[in-house]
Amino acid sequence: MAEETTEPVQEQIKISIFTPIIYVAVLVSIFVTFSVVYRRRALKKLTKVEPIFPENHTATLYEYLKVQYQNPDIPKDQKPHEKVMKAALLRRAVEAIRRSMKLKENEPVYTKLYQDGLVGDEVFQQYQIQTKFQELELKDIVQETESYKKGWVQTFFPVAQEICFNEALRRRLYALDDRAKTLSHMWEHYVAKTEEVNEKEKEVKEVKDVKQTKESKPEEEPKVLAESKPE
Amino acid sequence: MGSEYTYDEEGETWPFFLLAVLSFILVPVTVKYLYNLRSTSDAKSENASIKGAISQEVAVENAAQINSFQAQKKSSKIFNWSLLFIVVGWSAFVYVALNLVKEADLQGAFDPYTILDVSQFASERDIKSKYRKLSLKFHPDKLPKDLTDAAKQEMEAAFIRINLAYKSLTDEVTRNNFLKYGHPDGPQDVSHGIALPKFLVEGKYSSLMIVVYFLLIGVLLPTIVGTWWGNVKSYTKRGLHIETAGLFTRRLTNRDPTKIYTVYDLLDLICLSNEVRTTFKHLDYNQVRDLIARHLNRNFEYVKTNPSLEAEKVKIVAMLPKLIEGLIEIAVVFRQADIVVTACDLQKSIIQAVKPEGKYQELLQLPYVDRKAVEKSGVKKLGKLFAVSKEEAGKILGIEDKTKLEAALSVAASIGSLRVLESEFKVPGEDVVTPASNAHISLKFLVKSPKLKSCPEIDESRLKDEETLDYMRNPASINEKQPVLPYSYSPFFPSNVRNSWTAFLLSQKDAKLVEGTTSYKLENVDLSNLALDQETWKKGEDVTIGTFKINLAVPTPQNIGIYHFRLILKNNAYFGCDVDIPVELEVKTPPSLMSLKKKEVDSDDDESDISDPEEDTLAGALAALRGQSTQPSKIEEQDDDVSDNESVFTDINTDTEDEGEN
Repeated sequence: MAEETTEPVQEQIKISIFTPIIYVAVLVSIFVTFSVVYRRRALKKLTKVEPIFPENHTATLYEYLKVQYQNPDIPKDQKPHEKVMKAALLRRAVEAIRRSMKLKENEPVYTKLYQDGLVGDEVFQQYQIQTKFQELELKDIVQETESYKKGWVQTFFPVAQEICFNEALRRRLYALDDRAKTLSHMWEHYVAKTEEVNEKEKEVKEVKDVKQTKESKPEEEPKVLAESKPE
Repeated sequence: MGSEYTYDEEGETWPFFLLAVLSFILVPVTVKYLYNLRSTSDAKSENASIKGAISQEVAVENAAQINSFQAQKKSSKIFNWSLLFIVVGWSAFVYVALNLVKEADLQGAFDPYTILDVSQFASERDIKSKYRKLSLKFHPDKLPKDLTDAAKQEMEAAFIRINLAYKSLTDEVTRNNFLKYGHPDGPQDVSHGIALPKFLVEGKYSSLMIVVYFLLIGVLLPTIVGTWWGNVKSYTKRGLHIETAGLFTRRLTNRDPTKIYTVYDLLDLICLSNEVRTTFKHLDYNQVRDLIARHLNRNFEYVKTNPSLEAEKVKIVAMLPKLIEGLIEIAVVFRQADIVVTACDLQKSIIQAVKPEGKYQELLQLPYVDRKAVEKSGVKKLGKLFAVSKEEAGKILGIEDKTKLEAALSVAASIGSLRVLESEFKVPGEDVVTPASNAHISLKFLVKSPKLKSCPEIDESRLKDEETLDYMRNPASINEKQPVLPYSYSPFFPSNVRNSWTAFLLSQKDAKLVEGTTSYKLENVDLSNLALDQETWKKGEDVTIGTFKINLAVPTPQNIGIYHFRLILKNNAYFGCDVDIPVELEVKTPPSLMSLKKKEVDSDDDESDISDPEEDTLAGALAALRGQSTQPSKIEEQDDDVSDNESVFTDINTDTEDEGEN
């Protein structure tokens, strides 16, 4: 049966040499366009993902100053002073160190989040990109320091680190009042205090005060607290 | 063109093909649908079978909205697209099966046993006798004369078949043929064909067929797989949208360690989530926040003024716990204990519709309470309600109606807190915790109703676990042997929430969650203690002791020494039954090794130092117990404050220790 049928088929169909070539060409071009479009979309999607850190103001500030510093059209007395440049660079380095440390500290966290499927691919990719970016940023800062004075890097980074730690400590110190305020708000400590006051003053102002404290909006509450404190 | 294939012109086989495809799709879909339907268990009926469940019916102002939300949820589970698909699919199945399937021609098939009407295991003698009987009946010579030709021929054919069947069972050659080819005459003609009518493949419809195939394989299949994959990728394993998960992750990475994150900060964060934003596009952020604030303050103004907005409020509120759980899960990986604890409090506030600030949540979670009255009374603990007379309790809660007060008090009495009797690290089969062993935390507790006073003395022997094989293999298997917790009493929350405690283990060193630990759920607790009266409770013989075993994924430290931990258990629905206790882990060498050491070193001081750890840990637990006590509310308060302050200080300490991280 098979022999009978194969012969006529061979006679009937004449295939041009271009047919398979066109076939392959169409196939390949479809694959190529697909992969190009897919990659482009993936990249676009990745740029849309919000970066881990907010905008780096210190870096933009430094760039802004540097443009002025290197611009030959600006007269010399209007250019930023070299000390200003160095200070700006120091600030940039402090932020860079802080971010690098944060990333390093959170490395196991991100790995675990990704492994457990608690975050999407984008977040993890964003993390890896950010890590690379911080490396480049540090390298860039090293180059910048070298441009001001050869060998400054040796002392530059320890100073930057010192500043970073010192600022962290200060932040914590200055935050104490804020913490107290938040906690007293959450525990409604001020309400208890004002009520004590009311009891002392008894009937005279009682009704009015209770009304005031109960209906006061969050913005006003610190004020109430401040009022009640001296008593 | 000569056809090489036979086609299914008469429609003999393609209906079977269709049926097979249909049943392939329909059966799994139907099973899944029915399973979903079954899993919608009724909270009320289930609670009826669980001891200690709160079955108090409470009238809620926005009952209409909540009921319609629940009805909608229920009906959407029954009437959905898959139901339509199932109905259409099965009717097509039935239609094809009844109308298009022609009776299969099974003449080709040959089964000598059925022809001879003997069993498969009949002996040769039986076969022979049966054959004789049949051949007497069908033999051409023995047929009755008055038969028609057709009948005669049929009888003859039957006789041939009987002969053949007999032969195939007795004769060697035919038997072999039968076994090999399924027919005594040897190989039969087998035809392979296409289960489609010819006009579809070779007629004018052939191009149409190609288009259909192309659409099926080139378009439909990739789209289905693509959308499925896209869906899988746009949600995390826990069903959180990846944008939301990304938002939480970024916030937790960038958090200011000096700032206290309050319940409201977390609520803000959750309102920014993709789920809330996309589901409530028509509401802006402030409106959403306003609706949630109204829920937390039990403000039902919209029921009258704007019922549709009230319905939205119910919808938003129903959505929140899942998002909060997602946040907790991510925060646990970040080991940020303060966020985790605050998030748990937020969840409770949402479920009980109680405002998160202040110290009166325990009383405010009861039904019918008047917030102003409670805040004025200064009473903060549930236990206090039962220490005073009923009238006074009514005054505290601001409830005048007697039945309402009764309802509130019965709810209060059923909110059981955990009284920890023992909390320590244990290694199954060992007396001490050895280095690098698989330890677990063993928590023994009594469930105590606020109306009961003091705590019974429990004999130490009752706290010992039976060392069964299951226990040795997996200590946490004991947890599941206790009855499951009922659904929470949460009349203001639109969905039913199973009550549970979630445990977190913190390291005292840095006030963070212990590395490698997760959250542990306590879902099985025997609540029968709630029904006891004061006397039986005090006697302590009939009280049920609850057990919670937490398997630690990480082995105990290599080095011998004492390690300090803090165990926090947060209830997901009720205020006033959280546990926050210190737990001590003392790692030491097993006794056998110790005695060896003794001989070597010959120093008793070392030994005696190590050898009474239980007292230490028990003392620690007992100290915590005092802090847990609900009876004297003043002492409790102070303790609360102390622990809160402590957490504040440790927070600062750790912050300064690794200042660099910010």
